This record gives sequence, structure tokens and C-alpha cells, in this order.
Amino acid sequence: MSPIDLKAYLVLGAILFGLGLVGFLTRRNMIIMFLSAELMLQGVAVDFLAFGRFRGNWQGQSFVLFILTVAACEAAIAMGLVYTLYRLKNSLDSGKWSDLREEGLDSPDDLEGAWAPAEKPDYPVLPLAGIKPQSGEETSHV
Amino acid sequence: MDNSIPMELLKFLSPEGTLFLLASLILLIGPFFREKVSWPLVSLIGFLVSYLLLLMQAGTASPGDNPYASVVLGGTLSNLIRHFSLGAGIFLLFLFWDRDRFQPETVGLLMILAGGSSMVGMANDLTVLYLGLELVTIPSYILLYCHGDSNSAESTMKYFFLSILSSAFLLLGIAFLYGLTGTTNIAAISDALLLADPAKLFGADALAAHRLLLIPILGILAGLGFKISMVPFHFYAPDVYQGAGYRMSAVLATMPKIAGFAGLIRIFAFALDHGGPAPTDFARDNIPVLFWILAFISITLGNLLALLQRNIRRIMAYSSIAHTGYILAAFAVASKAAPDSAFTGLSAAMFYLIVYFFSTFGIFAILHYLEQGRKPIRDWDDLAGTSKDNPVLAVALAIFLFSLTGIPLTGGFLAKFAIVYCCANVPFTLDDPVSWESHYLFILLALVIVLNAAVAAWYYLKLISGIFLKPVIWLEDKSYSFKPVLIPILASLLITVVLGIYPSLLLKPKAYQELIEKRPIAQGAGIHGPFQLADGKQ
Repeated sequence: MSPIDLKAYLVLGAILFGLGLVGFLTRRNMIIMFLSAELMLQGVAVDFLAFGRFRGNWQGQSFVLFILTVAACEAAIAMGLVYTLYRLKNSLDSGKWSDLREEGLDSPDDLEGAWAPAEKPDYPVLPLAGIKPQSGEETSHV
Repeated sequence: MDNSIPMELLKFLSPEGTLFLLASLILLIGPFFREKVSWPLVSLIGFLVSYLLLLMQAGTASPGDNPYASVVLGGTLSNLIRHFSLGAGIFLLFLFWDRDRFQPETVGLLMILAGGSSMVGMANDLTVLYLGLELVTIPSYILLYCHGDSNSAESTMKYFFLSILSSAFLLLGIAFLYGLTGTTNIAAISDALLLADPAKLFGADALAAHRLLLIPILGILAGLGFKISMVPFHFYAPDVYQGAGYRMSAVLATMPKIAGFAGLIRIFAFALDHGGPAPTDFARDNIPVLFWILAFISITLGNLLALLQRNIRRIMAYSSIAHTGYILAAFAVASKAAPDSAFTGLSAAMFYLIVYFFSTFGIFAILHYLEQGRKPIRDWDDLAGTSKDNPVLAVALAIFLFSLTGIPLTGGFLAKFAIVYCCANVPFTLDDPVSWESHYLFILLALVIVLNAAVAAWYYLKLISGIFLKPVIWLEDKSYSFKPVLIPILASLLITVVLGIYPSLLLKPKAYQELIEKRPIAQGAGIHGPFQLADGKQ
């Protein structure tokens, strides 16, 4: 691989990384934010592959396998986390989560009250089955 | 090619291997026997077995002789960090001994945390280092969600999103470091950055190569700076600690820091070692300046912002940012100190990290213990009446706070003293104006540290006055039951005081010299994988 080819791949990686960074910094939807962060990781993976090819050894490619594995772990946690957060506030907007902040600052949630929260759709409900748990046993920690 | 895994390597990795295996087992079968087994006890046994395995390695043994062919490295430093990580894991385990719903998961994740941090400490390959850092970070998201206080969801969300952003920057830095040097072996990378002409690394002119080297250095600093909550990557710390509860604050203020600083030492080894081979201008001048600036702003900003806080965990978060700054100051001076100096910057940094761990752990653990059966302790005026309530723990809390302030007879004093001593004793020669410059710059840094210690005394003493002097309007009738967490509190109290009186146990002047010195330096020869320079020379 010539340095010219390497440059092309690095530019591709940089574009992916930059798009991810811009997406992460400007979006408020938590799923989009996570996907943007993943895009940054994939941009780095392209860099790794290009460098590995340029240097003529396997270390870059093997590193990419580890990046993919770690990204999968993070995706698993992210989906669980975003799902619980959605259940708690009924919104995917990250700006809704602003209870923890410096004293005396206004809420950064500038969209507060801009629109009414959507009505909960009529989800089908599963009938109760099995043994009823004893009261007090089932506690929520959140 | 011999593909069998050498027994020597397996033996070397057995402590961490034991931890990871047992943790996976606990996570796998634990949920089926939640109440039937005492999971912390199982995990403690696992920790002790792994500690024994570590002790049996007799310290300095490294798998294989060739550091260019090995992914892990033995030696004094890696040994110290491995012992420290396992010890920290055991201490934190006692903090989570309470009976709750998530016991098997909690202990399993704690074991992975400790093993990951110890992996970073011995890493000699960027892959191992990255995986170790992720093994510290990923379990802490889950622990944070399960064990925070009422705001744990928000604090997990903030920590998680900023953490994946920082890990993307870390990876970018690692990718370019690999690209510039052509290897992921840290020993070979250090040699390349120390010895090789940067222009040759990338087949570019020297200026362009220097600019290219900025990408890995800044990327890695951004990624690891998040983990050690260094300014300007500190914004998450106060919010996350505030919503995390005392136990999780204790984990987040210590474990990622141990791993992050270990990673910094490993990657920036070429700029931290004094007395090694003559470093290039880049390693000698530019990186210490970077550390100098980061240390300066971390110390100053951390202490000043802590003055504005009322919430105890926010105060502690800003204080942890300031302490990161002190350790970075030791990093900045590491390659500058005189060869016959009483301490090297690196030994001062490690000593500071250890003292910081025990003091911070003690404070968070005591506050967690005092919270039982009474209203939560949030602001510093909630501490009123602690001295009447539980005089022994009130005194212990005061000693830990004194140690963080840097009052003599505690470990914190000698840790700060060592760093100030290194900064004030940067040698200079009369015929080299650059050396005067660094001499005066580091005297300025020493002054900043001393002045900031005085600023920090204000908020630490405010906490102490809350414990002892604040009038009690109404004293709750409380009885404190014995909890296992009292054991590590007592141990860290002893260690804090003993290190304050007899620091030479850990503050060794000539330790950690092996980072670069002992390595057989041979450009290109024996490097794992082809170490190709861009002009095709091997």
C-alpha cells in the first residue's frame, strides 16, 4: 500500500470519526448519540485496518476484532440503559436528565414544556399468570 | 511457528485469570442462588487465592526475556500496581458486603474491575492496555446503576455517554500511535519515540511528524484524562459522584484512577523516566510542558470550584480533580529531577496515588457507614452531631480529611512533600538557558501546589468543623451495628498514619527505574513483528 492509498483511507476514517463526533455533540436523542459514538469507533477501526495494511503486519486487524467486541458489550449495556431511562421519563431526550447540576443553575432543558408528552399508546397487556408474589417482596430500586 | 501457549505466561497471568474465571462463574450461576450463598465471602476467597498466586511469582519475574515479544511485563512497577489493584478490590468488596438483591452481580463485577486495573498495570501491548481499561469501565456502568442513590439513572447516563466518547478518543490515539510506529508493543513504541528520528517514522518532514505525533498524544490524554478526571475532561465527575452514593463514589474515585494512571505511565514511559537513554527533544521538552499545564489547571480549578460547593460528594469530586492535578505535576517533573534526587517524580506519583486511595476510601466508607439508619448525609451541615454520635469514627474521618489536606503525621503530607520537593529541585546548568527556564517553571509549579494546599484546607476544614463544631439542634437516637466495612476503614486508617510516619515503606527513591533502563535497546532487532520504517529499513 502506498502512502497515497493510506491517505485516502485515513481521510475516510477521519470523516467517519468527525461525523460521529458532530452527531454526538449536536443530537439529544440518546439512541442517536450512542450510534454516533459507534460511528466514531468504526472510523478508528478503518484507521487501524489501513495502518495495519500499510505497516504489513496483523496487529491492526487483530485490534479491530477487540474493538468490535468491546463495542458489542457497550451496545448491550447502552440498549438496556436507554430502555430503562425511557421507561422512567417517557422520553429519549437526554436534556430531560438534568437534576444533577451545579447549585443555582437554571435547568438546561430549554424544551421543557415546549410540547405535551405524547399520550401512552394502548399497549396490549399480558394477563396475570403464576403465583402472586408476596407483597413487599417485589421492590423497585429505581 | 510455535503456537502453544507457554506455561510461563499462563503462570504469570494466573492471578488475573483466577479473578476473571471466578467472576464469570459467579455471574453465571449466582442469580440462581441469590440468597443461599454468601457471595462476598466466595469473592473474598477468590481475591485471596489470586493474591497468593501473585505473591508466589516472587516479584520481578517476567514471562520471557524479550520485552519486544511479550504482551505483559513484570518488574517493580507492574508488581506494585497489581498488588495495589487487588488490594483496592478487596477493600471495595467490604464496602459492598451488605445483603441486597444484586449481591452475586456486584461481587462478580468488582472482581472484574480489580482484574482489569491490574491488567493495565502490567500491559506491554496497547491491546492489553485497552482491554484492561474497558474491563474497568464497563462493569462500573452496571454497578453505578444498581448501587447509586435516587439519582443513579441520571448519573449512569452521564457517565456512560461521556465515557464512550472518551474511549473513542483513546482509540483514535492508539490507532495513530500504531500507525506511526508500526507496532502495538509498548516497549518498541517507547524506543521508537525515544530513539528514532520522528521524521523517519512516517517518511515525512520533521515538522509534519511532530504534528502527527500530537494526534496520538492528545487522543490518549483525552481518553485517559477522562478516567482520571483531569481538567478539561472533568465535567462529569461532580454530577456523577453526586448521584452515585458514597459506595459507588468510592469505586469511581479510585479504580478508574488507578487504571488511568497506570495507563499513562505505560504509554508515556518514554517521557517519564529520568536516567534512561538520552531522550529526543520531543520527549524531553514537549510532554513535560503538556503535563505541567494540565497539572496547573487541574489543581487550581479543582480547588477553586470545590470552595463553591455544599454537597459533600461534589466537594469530594472537585477535590479528586485537584489530587489528579498533584499527581500530574509529579509526572511533569519525572524526567527532570536530578539523578541523585531523594525521590523520582514517578515514585512520588505512585506514593501519592496510594495515599490518595486510602484517604478517599476511608472518607467515603465512613460516610456510607454513618448513613445507616439515619437521614442521608448530603450537605456538609448534615454532618452536625457526628462527633457526639460516633466519636471514634468522627476522629477517623478527621484524620482522613487531614491526610487529604496534607497535615503532617499523615501520609498525605509526605506525598505532597515528595512532589513539591521534586518540583523545587529541578537542576539547571549555567550555560543552558532552556534548563533555567524549566527550573523556574517548576519552582512556580511547586508554589502553585503549596498555595493550593492552603486553599484546599478551607473546604476540608469546613467539613471537619461540620463534624465537630456545628451545634446540634436535635440528636437522633441511633445505634450503629457492626458492619464488615469497619475492617477496611481501620486498615486504611492504620496505613494512612503509618505512611505518614514511616514513608520509606513505599516511597523508594530508585524504584521503577526499569521502565526503560533495563531493556536491551536494539533498534529494530528482536521486535515482535516487522518494525518497518517508512523508507523500508528494518
